[in-house]
Amino acid sequence: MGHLGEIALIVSQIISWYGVVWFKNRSDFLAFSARLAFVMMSLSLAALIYGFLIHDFDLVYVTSHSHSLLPWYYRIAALWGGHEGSYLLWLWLIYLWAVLTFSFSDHTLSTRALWYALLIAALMGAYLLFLSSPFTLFVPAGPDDGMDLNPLLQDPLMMIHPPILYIGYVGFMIPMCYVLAYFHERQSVDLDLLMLKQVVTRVVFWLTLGIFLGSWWAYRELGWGGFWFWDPVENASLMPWLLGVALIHLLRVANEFKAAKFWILVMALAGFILSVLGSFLVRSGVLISVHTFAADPGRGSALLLILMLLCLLSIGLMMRYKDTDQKPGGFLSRRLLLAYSAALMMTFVLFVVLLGTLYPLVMTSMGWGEVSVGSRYFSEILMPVIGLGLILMLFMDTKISFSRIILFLAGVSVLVLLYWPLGLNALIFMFLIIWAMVCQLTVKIPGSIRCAHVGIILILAGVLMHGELARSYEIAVGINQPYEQSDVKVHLVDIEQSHFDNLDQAAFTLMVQDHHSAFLLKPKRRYYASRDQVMNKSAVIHDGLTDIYAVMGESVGDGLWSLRLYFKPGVILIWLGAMLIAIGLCWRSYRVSA
Amino acid sequence: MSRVHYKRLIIILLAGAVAVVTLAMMMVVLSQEINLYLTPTEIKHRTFAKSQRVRVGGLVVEHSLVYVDKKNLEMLFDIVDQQGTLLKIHYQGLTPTLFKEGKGVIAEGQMQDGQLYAKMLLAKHDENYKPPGT
Repeated sequence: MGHLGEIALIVSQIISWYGVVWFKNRSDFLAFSARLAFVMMSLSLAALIYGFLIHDFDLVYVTSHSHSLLPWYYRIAALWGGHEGSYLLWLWLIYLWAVLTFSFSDHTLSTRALWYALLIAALMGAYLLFLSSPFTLFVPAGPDDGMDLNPLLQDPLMMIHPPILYIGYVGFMIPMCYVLAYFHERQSVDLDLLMLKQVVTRVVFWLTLGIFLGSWWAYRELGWGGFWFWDPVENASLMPWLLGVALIHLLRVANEFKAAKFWILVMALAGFILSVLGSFLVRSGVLISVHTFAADPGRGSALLLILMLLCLLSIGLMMRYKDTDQKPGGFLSRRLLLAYSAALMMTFVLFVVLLGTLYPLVMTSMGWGEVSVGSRYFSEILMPVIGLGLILMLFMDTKISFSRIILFLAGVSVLVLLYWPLGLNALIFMFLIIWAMVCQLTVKIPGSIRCAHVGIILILAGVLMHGELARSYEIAVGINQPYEQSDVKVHLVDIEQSHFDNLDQAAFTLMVQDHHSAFLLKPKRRYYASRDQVMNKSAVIHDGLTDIYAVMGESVGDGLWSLRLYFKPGVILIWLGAMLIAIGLCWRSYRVSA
Repeated sequence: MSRVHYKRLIIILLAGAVAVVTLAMMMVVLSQEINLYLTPTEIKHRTFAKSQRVRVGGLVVEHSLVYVDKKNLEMLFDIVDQQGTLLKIHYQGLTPTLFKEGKGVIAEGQMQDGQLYAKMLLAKHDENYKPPGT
């Protein structure tokens, strides 16, 4: 099957190159080659999945990411458990997006855009085929059993988080190709801004969902205890997201404010470049990250080459830009001005994140020593920006009505009752948050926008509450050796051993008591013999808005086990908010347009 | 220079000034918040401001881990680099699952009295599961 997969991959690449070289101006042939290449790619992907399902350990990739005892659903997910398979999925998604968006569209720019999409796919395909083929075979025969999937990745979320995130990353290729086509045709055809907006909204929807799932996974299952670490890998996904959100707001003002048009074009090009940059940062191992799952410097330089080519292509075609609109910019209403400011703000945040992420890279390459940027850099700089964002949101409607005052007072009193001991900064932010929330709930805007805005406010509220009020304990407990302090008591009730497919599990039962109530938590430790590796499965219980979160560590001797216990208020608001943003974006971009 | 040009010049200068000030402020915060990545040998030959955060990488020396206060997970252990220089690490908390004696670790914290008071331990993992230094 490995051969079949490789052949299908090669054929799809030949078709793509052929289409790129010979059918530059034949829209029907170009669309046909794109579809055919997509079918061949699907075949190739299916062959690799089949290889995982039947334990084809002759394939190097299957051997390094699967095991005969691994359950079938993780064997499918193992497809994107490593570098080569991830890129196969990437490439397949490029074809999928391109075929779905361009090959059925009759817009004049679509043919040219499809040509660019095929060109990018062919570049990435060459990289996949020559430098990171997932179909490499052991000669003469592979080992009897695989090395197993990284235990960290053996989680139900592994099945959906990476593909969804990749859909978002790859989706940025569509705006890029579209704008490249627009420049290529020397702006003779009008840009379909509505279509661009719809695509960008869709892409941001997938990215939001992907980032949310990843963050939730890291928080809930991996036992790292946080939801965001400002780690380079996380920043790599945040940067395209920020750009996408800025672009959506900028597109809102595009018709009225001509000066924004150039920036829309630049940002549409930059989205995919940021995606590839992110993948370069993650995959090349140039940055120290807590979750680098695949690093290979040799591949890094090839990715850098693709990145440079994309940049050169963008800049080269951008040189052709002429300011065609002679009309002076119109008068901006307050709403448009706010949308424009929001876009500027998001772009600023993007630069802050970009600087913090790339700074270590610059330092190292200049030989000034190896450094990493602490998370306080991000939080300190972004704090005032977030305040500004809230102010922008509450200016969307400044009328003061009876119902608003009632809502505001209700919000404040709930806050005061629940969480009184807050610092001054937090208090100011809380007032801003409640005010912005009241404004968003009562202002006249489409439901989808309301949904997304309420979502982001909820996230900010959650982050703030968590930052101010979270408590953590790192302690040791044993059976009949409880941990007691004035504000918390922890008993280890029971340890239960069991065996599953490819792992041994110890399930702990903890009784946690604070002032008013007691909770039973069941964190687990899993041992994967195939990798001689231990994994912690944390346990979370929700008590109102507070998460009580426990993760077990090593045995430290004398019958004691190390344990990390958190009280985390507000985290649930973050997940709720992220879901609301995703729902809002989905609603806006996938509704049936009249 | 016409009135319009004059106005435009003022706006551009103002925007530029704001941009420069913002960037300078960002760089100041950034320079305060970076962690230097060093080896125990490099640590030995430098002096540090108390607030300077560093990341030190090395192998955890076998049998060097001692608990100072077991109930609160307060511990001391040594790490060693390729030159054989030792550095004592003080840490309070849960160790990462990949943390083992004889394996690689990155400790982040501040230097005090020749010891590193680590706030965080990183045991890196990649898809092939080799902790660093092996």
